[in-house]
Amino acid sequence: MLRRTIIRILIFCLTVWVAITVNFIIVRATPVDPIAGILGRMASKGQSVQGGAEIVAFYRDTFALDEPWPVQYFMYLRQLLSGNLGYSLAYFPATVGDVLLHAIPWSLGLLLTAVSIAFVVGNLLGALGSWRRAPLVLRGLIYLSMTISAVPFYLLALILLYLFAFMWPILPTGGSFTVGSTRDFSLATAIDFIRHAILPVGSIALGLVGFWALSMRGVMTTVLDEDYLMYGRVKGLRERTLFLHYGVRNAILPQVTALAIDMGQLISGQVLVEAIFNYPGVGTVLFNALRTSDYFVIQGVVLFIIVSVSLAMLVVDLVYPLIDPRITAGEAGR
Amino acid sequence: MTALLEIRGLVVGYGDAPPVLGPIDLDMRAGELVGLVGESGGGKSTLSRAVLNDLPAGANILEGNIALNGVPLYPVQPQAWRAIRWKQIAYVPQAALNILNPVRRIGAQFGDMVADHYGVALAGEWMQKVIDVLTAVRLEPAVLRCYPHQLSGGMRQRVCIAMAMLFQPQLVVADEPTSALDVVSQRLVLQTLLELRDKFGTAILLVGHDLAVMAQVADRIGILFAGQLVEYGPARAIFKEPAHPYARRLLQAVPSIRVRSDLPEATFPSEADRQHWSDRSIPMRLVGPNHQARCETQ
Repeated sequence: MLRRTIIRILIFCLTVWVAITVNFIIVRATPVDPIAGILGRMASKGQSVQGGAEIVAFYRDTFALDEPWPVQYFMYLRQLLSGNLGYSLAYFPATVGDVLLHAIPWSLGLLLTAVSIAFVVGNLLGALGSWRRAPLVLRGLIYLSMTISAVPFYLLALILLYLFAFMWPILPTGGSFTVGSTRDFSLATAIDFIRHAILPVGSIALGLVGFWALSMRGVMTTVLDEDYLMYGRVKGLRERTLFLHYGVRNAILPQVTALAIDMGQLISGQVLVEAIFNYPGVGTVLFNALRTSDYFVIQGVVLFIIVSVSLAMLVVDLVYPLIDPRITAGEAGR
Repeated sequence: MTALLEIRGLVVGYGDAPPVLGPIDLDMRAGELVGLVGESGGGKSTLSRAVLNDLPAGANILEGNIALNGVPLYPVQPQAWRAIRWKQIAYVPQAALNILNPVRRIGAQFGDMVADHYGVALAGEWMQKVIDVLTAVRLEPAVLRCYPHQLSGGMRQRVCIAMAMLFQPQLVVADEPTSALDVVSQRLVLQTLLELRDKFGTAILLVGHDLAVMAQVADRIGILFAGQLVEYGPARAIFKEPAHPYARRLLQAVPSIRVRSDLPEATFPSEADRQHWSDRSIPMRLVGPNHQARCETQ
């Protein structure tokens, strides 16, 4: 178990290192001086860049841009390790780290809530749909959710926005709080916060439910043929026991693995949803950075996404033995 | 004395296709061990699954009925069946890796049975009963904390026997409980099954291929061929003087552990023979005391 954990963590470190290195090479492979290029483009568009010359000097200095590549690479790694991702061009003198740190909690909250809701609802729906004594309505719901899942997140977001913010204006169109409201630990603040989160969370969760329902139904179908379900039925166990402890409990295992694999796709889908609702998360930061060619912020976000996806997969891998006792088979007494 | 289990004119089939089993007439007395033997596809498993009300999907009882203590089991009344299951008719399955829920501890799986049938948690008196049945099959109470994959095949099979005996049912259906086990484990499994029968007076319907085992343990033996019960009688009589041609053939095919000889040439019965052996128009008739066979008068 310990050995497995250590190997898994080493793989995680390797993944992140490769990502960082690729990030470094791509920038160096660009034939133009990216910083001067960006500053020049911004200036030509009439945007004023405060302290442009200082930024150039700072980067040449910090990242040893006049030195050969190996030295640059070493400096780059050193800066990264000390948490320095560089400065935002659009929000100078804010660092990329500052910008990300403000955005990450919002994104994480949004993602975890949406994924949890979709995972629970979708798996329950799929499992019930495959159960022979389940009402027919459930089967209909699976097909409905599958259809909805075929629609991209951003389109769902636009549809929800149109329906619940314009046609029946019961929910806010964007942001995370009502502009100008005071943020304190009161019920009103909490309600305001939840009202702003419903549509972004809803469009991600709604888009995912069908996916989970469909795959759960597939896994459940094979689990239903297993000997332990037949044996349990002959034992006269209740449907509820059979469904939850014998059916779902076994079928959920591959679903947890799928959860880690889909994380990457999910995060990229979330970017557009956040942008549509102007939700102050990493997605909106990336969207704005792309518009303003805020080069270092883009790099920072990409790095953040890679690290968080790898981290999610690491966590799932480490948690998996806790839910599947067979994985720890080599160990006595566990 | 009324029979514990009475099968009368039982016919099982899939939809409109010709029936795969029956009509079968068979009865079992309380505490009796009846062995069912015959070739694969002969209907042994279908018959035992009909008794358990666990026919494969699509299979139905077309005619006849099964009665337990004189009460017909079919047509199925879901509520009544939940009371019959495990409390009156329990089951020892064929040894298989996934017969026990792989992600649930053995103790929890005992707990499920107690909770779902008696609505109480596995503790106190019930815990004692579970430990008693485990001891009876020579297992330590420590297995309750194990997951199925941590036990050997023979231990898992004895867990299943302990489970079957927990509610002291009147009838246990054991479907090839010793196949897929090594000889020593087989012996232990059979031994515990028999001891429990003696202790609780449970009748056992033992389905199997192993004629040597049947000869040792069965009181009566039923021989199934092509969905028909072709011979039914005391084990001793059948092994001594099988009446039906298929039964004779079956017994000849058993190799001896004592005498090493060339294996008898494996010839498959001709189609004409098969037709003749499964001829339904030939009635069962007595060929000895309590011993009937479906064959023409000699």
